This record gives sequence, C-alpha cells and structure tokens, in this order.
Amino acid sequence: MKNIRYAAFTLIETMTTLMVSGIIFLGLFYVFTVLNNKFEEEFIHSELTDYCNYALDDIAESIRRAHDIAFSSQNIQELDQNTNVINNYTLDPLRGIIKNGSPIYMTSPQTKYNPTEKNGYMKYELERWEISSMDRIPEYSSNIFYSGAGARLKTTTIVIKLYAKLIMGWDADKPAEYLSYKRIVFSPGMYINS
Amino acid sequence: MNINKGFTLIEAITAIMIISVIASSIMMGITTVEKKLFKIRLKEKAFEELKNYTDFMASRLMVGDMGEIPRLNPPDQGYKVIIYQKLKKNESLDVYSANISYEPIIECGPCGKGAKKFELSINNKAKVYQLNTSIIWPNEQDIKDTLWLSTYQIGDAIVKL
Repeated sequence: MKNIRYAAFTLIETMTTLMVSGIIFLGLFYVFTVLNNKFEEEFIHSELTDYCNYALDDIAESIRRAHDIAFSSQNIQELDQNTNVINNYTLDPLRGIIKNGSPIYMTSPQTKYNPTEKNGYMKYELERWEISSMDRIPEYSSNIFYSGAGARLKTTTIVIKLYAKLIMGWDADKPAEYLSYKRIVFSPGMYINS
Repeated sequence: MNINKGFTLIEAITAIMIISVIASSIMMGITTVEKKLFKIRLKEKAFEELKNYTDFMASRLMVGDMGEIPRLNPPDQGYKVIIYQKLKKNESLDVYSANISYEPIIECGPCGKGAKKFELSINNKAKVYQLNTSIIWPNEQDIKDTLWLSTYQIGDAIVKL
C-alpha cells in the first residue's frame, strides 16, 4: 500500500490561525463600535448644544427688547407697555422649550427638540431650568466683577441656567453626561421701569 | 531527511512589529481625536462665559455703572470663572477654570479715537466706548488658550434718559 502525503495545515495550525484572526477581528470590531458610539455621541451633543443656544438666544433677544419682564423660576414673559404678554417661554422635558405654546425649532440648519428615537432609545433630555435675577444668585456675590455692579442693575439682569442630560441609552437615570447652558441678560426696559 | 518548515525569528519579529505599529497608531488616533473634541468643548464653554461677561460689562457701561474714565481696571490676573465641570449627579469632577479680563476702556466718540465711525449714526452727545475682553484657560497640555471679543457700546445711555 502506497502512503500518500498531502502538504496542508495541521489541525493545530488551523485552530491557531482561526483564533488569532478571531481575536484581531474582535479587536477591530470593538474599536469600530467605540469610535462609532463616540461619533454618534458627539453628533447628538452638537445637536443639543445648537438647540439650547438657539432657544436661549431667542429668549435673550426677547428680554433685551422687552418693555418689561415677568418671570418665575419656571417661566419668563416679555411684556409690552400695557403689560400684555408678547412672548411666553416655558420648559417641557417632552417637547423642549415652548414659546407661546409651540416648541421652538431652528429652521436653518433644521434642528428641533427630538429627545427620543421611535424605538425608545433616549438621546437627551432637558431636565430643568432656573430663571432668576442676578442679585438672588450667591455665585455672583463671590465674584468681584459681578458683585461690584449696582444693585438696580443686578435686579434687572436675568440669569437663565438650562440643565440637560445627554443620555445615549435606554435609561434616563444613567446619562452619559450632564450639561448646562447659561445666559446673563440685562433688561433695559425693566431697568427704566424699576 | 526531516525538514520542519516555519517562520524564522526575523519574520516573526517583523510581523509583530508591524501589528504593534498599526495598533498603536489606531490608539493614538483615537486619543488625539478625543483630546481635540474636548478642546472644542472647552472653547465653546469659554466663549459662552466670555459673551455673558462682555454683555454684562456692556450693560454696566450702558447704565453708567462703571465710574468715570479712566474706568475701573481689573486685577492683573483678571477674574476667575469655572468654564467646564463634569457633573456626576451632585458631584463636580474635572473642573477647568479660566481668567476673564478686559483692557482699559477707550472712549471713541464724539471726539475720541474712532469717532468718524459713529458720528453720522448717533447723537453726537453720546459717548461710545470700545470694549475689549478676553478669556484665558489652560488646555490639556497646560498651554494657555485665549479668546478675544471686541465691541462698541453707547455709554451712560439710560442715565441720560
């Protein structure tokens, strides 16, 4: 009987090759997933930042041109000289910042408050905001520049702090990051009327 | 004659080195991108803080709240503000602070430098001030980054009313 020998990989060589390729593949896949998630997170972060800045700038503009301002910790109103409400802003965690009953959205580039995907994946959420006059915030009494300002000016300067959560997952209680945005806006109309 | 064919030591070391170089390049790339993104975030927050500060300073000039020229100069190091803090529930981690400052305020009109720019557009009794503010903050490598804002503000406008 003739003994035929074929040149081929042994079982050990084949298994070793498969394992090494598997580890390299898993490593590359992991790197790709991490990079993809990071990119997605950055994209959503920018979207949220653009939205918040746009909404806060809109409110700041209203405060600057208002004849008078009425505000509580949760809403702010621009008033005309007959104390009629021209613009009313509130915050709703499900709909975003509401101006006169409708959610604020940017037209160019088109950005609207869209915190959740259709499958329930949560991207971000506006948690709360704090609206207050500067004289009521202790942070500004410890800063020489702000505390040196006149009392009347500080009473008529509105500080809006907006707190948001970048969630990027399914559980709103485990956000990837907490974010905050701030505007300090002086109201000349309120100053003259005070 | 029994010949065992296999990789030589040189071949094996070359292969390991190539794989190591590729892996470390990928890791370095990821780290660099993350650092750059963080730098952009710091810059965004620094700009927000500087804009708020400049607006408030302009308001002080508008209502005549900063005394007569020469205006109040800031401390040499400026004012310290927190521009970024990573929040974890009620804890704040990785706090980055910056120094905000301003240059001595220049009067531009009606007879000061830069008056031409304004004398046609505003009442020539109004004073216009040039306001230059800056913010300096350390980045990841502890090198200072700086942003400047320059603006004009009609001074003591509300007092005159």
